[in-house]
Amino acid sequence: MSSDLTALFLTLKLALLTTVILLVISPFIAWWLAKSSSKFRPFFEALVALPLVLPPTVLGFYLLLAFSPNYLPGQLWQSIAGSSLAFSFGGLLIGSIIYSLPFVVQPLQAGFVTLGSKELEAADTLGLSRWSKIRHIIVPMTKRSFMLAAVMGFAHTLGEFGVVLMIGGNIPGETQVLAISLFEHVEALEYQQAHNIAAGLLISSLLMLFVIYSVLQKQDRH
Amino acid sequence: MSLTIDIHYQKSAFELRLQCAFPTQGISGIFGPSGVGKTTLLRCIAGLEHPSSGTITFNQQPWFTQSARLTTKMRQVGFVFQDSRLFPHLTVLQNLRLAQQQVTSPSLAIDTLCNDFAISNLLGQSANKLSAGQQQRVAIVRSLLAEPKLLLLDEPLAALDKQSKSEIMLHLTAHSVAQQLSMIYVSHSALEIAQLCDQLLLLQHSGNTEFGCANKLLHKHRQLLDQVNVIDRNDQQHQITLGLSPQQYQQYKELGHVFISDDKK
Repeated sequence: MSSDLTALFLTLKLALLTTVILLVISPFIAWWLAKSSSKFRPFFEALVALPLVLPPTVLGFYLLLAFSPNYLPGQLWQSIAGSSLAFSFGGLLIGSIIYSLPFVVQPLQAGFVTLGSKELEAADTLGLSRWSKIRHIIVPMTKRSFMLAAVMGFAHTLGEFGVVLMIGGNIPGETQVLAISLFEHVEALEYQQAHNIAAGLLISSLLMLFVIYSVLQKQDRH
Repeated sequence: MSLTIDIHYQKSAFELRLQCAFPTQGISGIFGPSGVGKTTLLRCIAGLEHPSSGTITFNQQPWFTQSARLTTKMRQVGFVFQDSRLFPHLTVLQNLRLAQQQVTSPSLAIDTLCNDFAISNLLGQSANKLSAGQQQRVAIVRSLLAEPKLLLLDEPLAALDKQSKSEIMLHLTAHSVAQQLSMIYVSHSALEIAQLCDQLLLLQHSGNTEFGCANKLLHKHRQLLDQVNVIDRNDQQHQITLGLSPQQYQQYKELGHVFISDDKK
C-alpha cells in the first residue's frame, strides 16, 4: 500500500507540474493557431493534434531514442545535466507535456477563435497595451477555456500509461505512476490493490470532469 | 492642420479610391449609400485595416505610407463602432475606468460625462445586460474618456430613438467644441449629418467623391428637402397630400424616390 501511496503522490506531482508548464506555453501556441493565416498552420495544427491519435507507445519509443545517449539530444542533455533523461522523472515530465499538449491547446484555441477580434479592436482604439489586453480582455473573456484546458490536461496526465512504460519504466518514487502500478498488481494477480487504484482513478477523473462541466454550465446561465 | 488621405483600397471585388483632406477641427461627416466604403474608410483611418496603397497623414505625422504603418494605439484615434463592442465581462463603470486608465493625466471626469449622456444609472450594471441604445451611449462615453486626438464614429446612433439622438448629438457637438476634439461622423442619415457636421465627404457608388460644406452638399444632392405643408393625410389609404411651391413640385417630380423630413405622426 505504501508503494501505491508513493505512486499516487508521484502521479499527482507529475500531473500538476505538467499542467502548470502547459498552461504557460500553450496559450502562445493556441493564439498562433487561432489567429495565423500562415500556410504552415495546418502542419503545426496536425503536429499538436498528433498525440490524440498516435499510440502512446509510438511517442514513447521515439522519445526513448531521443533521450538515449546514443543520439544527439540525449548526448546534449547528458553533457549539460550529467544524467540521462530516460528512466527519470524529468524525462517523464517532457513526455507528459508532449502527450497532454493537445488537451490544453485545443480548448484554448477554440476559445481564442470564439473571442474574435471585435473587443480587441475596441481595446486598440482605447489605447490598451498588449499586456493590458491580455490581462483585462483576453484572459477574462476566455476564462472558461483556461479552466477546461487545465482540467483536461491534469486529468489526461493522471491516466498516462503508454509513454511512461516506454520512457520511464517502473522505478518506485521516480517513474512508477498509478497506471503502471495498477498494471503491476494485475500481473501479480493482486486484484484488491488493482481495484483500489482503478476505482480511485475512475471516480476521481469522473468527479473532476463533472465539476468542471458543472462550473461551465453555471457560467453559461449568467 | 488636417487629416490628408490619398488611398487605394482593394479587397476582392470591392474597390475604394479616395483623395481628400479633413480639417482637424470640428465635426466632419461621411455620407453615402450602404456598401460604398464608409466603414472601410474609417477603419483605414484608425489603422484597423490598411489600404492597398497610398498615404494617410495626420497633422504632418505619417500614419500610413508604403513603408511605414503606425499602429492604432500610436495613432491615438478613438472609434465608436456600430455594434458598441463593450467588454461584456465588465460592468459599465469598469468599462469606463479601463478607458480612462489609458490616459496618463485624465482631464475628464467620469461623472460629468455620464450625466451628459444619461448613463449615470447604469454604472453598476453588467455591460452585456444593456439595451442596444444604452450600449451605444456607454460606448460613446468610453471612447471620449480615452481622450483620443481624433474620434471616429461609425453610425453610432442607429440604435437610438429620435429624442435620444438629438440629445446625444448636442452633447457630442458641445464636447467637440469644449475639448477641441475633431470627429469624423459616418452616417446614412442626411438629417444627422445636417445637424452635426460642418464639412462633409460624399461617397457615391460611381466612385465620385465630393468634399465641402455639409448643408450645401446635401441640398445639392437633394438629400434634404425643404419643409413642406401636409394638407391632408389618410392612414387607411396610405395617402398624403402635400402643398408644394412650384420649385418644390419640380424637386419632387425629379426624384425617383422621396425623402421626407416630417417627424409628426
